[in-house]
Amino acid sequence: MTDLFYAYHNVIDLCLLNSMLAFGCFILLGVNLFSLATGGLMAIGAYLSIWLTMQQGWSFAPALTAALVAASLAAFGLGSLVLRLRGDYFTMATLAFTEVVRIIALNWDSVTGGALGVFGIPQLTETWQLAGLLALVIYLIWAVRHSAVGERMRAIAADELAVSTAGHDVARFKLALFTASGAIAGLGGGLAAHLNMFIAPGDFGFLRSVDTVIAPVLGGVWNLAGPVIGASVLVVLPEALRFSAQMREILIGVTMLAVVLFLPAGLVGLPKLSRRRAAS
Amino acid sequence: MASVTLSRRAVLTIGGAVALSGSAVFAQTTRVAKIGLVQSTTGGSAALYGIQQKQAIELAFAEINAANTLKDIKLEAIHADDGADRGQTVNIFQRLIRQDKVVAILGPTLSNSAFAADPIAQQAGIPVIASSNTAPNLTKMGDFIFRTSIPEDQVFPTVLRYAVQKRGIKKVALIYGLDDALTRGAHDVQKKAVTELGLEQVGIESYQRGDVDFSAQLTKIREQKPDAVILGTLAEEAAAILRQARQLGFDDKITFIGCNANISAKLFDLAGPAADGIIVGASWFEGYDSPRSKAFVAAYQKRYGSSPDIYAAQGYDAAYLLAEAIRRADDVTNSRLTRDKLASISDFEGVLGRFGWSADRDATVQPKVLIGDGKSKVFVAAATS
Repeated sequence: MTDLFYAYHNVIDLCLLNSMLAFGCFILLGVNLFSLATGGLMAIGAYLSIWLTMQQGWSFAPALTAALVAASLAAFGLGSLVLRLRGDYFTMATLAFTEVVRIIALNWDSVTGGALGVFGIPQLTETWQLAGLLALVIYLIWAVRHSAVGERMRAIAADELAVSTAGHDVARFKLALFTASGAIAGLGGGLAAHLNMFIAPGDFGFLRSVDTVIAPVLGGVWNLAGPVIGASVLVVLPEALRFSAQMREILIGVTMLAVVLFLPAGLVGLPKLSRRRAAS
Repeated sequence: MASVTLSRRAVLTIGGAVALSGSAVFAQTTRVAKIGLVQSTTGGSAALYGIQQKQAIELAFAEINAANTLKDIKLEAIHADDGADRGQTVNIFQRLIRQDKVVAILGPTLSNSAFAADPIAQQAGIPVIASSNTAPNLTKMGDFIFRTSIPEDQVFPTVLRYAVQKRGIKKVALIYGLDDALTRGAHDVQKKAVTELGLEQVGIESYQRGDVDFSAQLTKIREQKPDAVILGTLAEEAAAILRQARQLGFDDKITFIGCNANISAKLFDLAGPAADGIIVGASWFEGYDSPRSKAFVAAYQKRYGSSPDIYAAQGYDAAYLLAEAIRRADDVTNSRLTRDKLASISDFEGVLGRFGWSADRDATVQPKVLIGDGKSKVFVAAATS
């Protein structure tokens, strides 16, 4: 049993970590914001936390807290600038932010090691920490969704104009959510950096940002289980399909396409759908 | 009805027992050494190197098993594709070590993956031989990490010294890819070698991956009037730089000196005659004149219908080195003993030539200086004497 756990140790860690990151996008998708800033915000958390643990001798918990604070500040600053943009323009601006951070990381050799990356990072992230922090994130989001704030989130998603006409400050509300999403990304970045002993600027680019958006979309944007299911499927699928060698990438693509086409509510909609089938 | 099921079950039981006893007898006569083969066969350009290594290593294992070199030990490669994704490399290493219980691992394809995954093998006491990782300090991760892919810093100083001796180079300009670990690593080594040889460095230019127009950088370099331009670039970029330099009217006397990554048939396809005279260094090239190397090229071509590249050659030697270690250990499960026997190999006669291990477990291959022949589209060995 323990051997089985160790054989799939990293798979479990990645499921937990990516689920947490997916929640950062999940809360934004809840108010119709499609952000690709996750990669850049993660990079800030990751590089700051390894600089603190490796160069400044900080212990893990304060370093993670610093990563969380720094990334939420960055998200606050970025959000104040780009949240006035709508739809595609907002997405493009957040992507530009991720690219800028990546290019800074490539050129700031003394801290980031440039393209060669940083290796020999102490392995401080433990499975129980990931599980505990993920549970905390889920609890907080659950609590928010079941409060008046959650009501307003759903209202903004349904009709933003109506909410602002009713006298609510939608812009400030979105900024608060964007900052919270930055905090999750920064925390995830710090945890990711201390998971596999090595990071390089390429880890926090466009692909990373897209992955964290795909997870909640795949799992289900309206259900708290959605990000966890989506992220876990994205981690486990490549492992489960490894037998198929060259077909693997095609099969992953086909699976995702099928989910988006036939399960508009995401994978969480699957049991409901099959129940309906059984009933009819 | 019940009696029928019973008898069928009985038949199955007996059949199973026979099969089991059969395999038990079989197990007494042959032992199987399980070896993890972690090479990217998907995931962009990494797959090009990964597939070559995978094929070469499987060829080596097939040859060793067919020739009964290890007597009653058979080598079994368990291949896993990491899709050039570091998270997956770690997943694979953990599974191979904990579940499949491999005795050694060959791979992974990318240095970045190695930095994340090799510590797991080091901790578990499983020897790893890399055949395409060229990042500096890779084997410093631990005494279980070996490599047959010789890093740039063992090749480039020899190449530069050759160029200085033969072409009287004094002033050099450098150009490199800023955002790629391979080209950045090559550049660091090149810069160090230039300083150590006391050459005058007139300029350093850089570009980013995906750039196709290098005329701005080349125009600046032309103004600086160097004797040689040193390339820390991938093959496609090197080809574009060579071609554009000719178009910009670079003097024919200016020598271009490339890095490991430029040794590719693609260089000639894309640069044509502009690649004439480029100097590069390598641990191996297809035309290398040794019986072992020629036999390998022929066997590879026969089995796969294509020519092996440098990574295939390095993978092939890694496979034979591991087989030799297992033969000396005469054990298919003791990975620590296998590691010690592997480390004890010196004077190994491989495709890359005769070599052993350095103190840091890097292959001590004699680098070969090559010159591009743009007309016949091949690299030819330079007369180093």
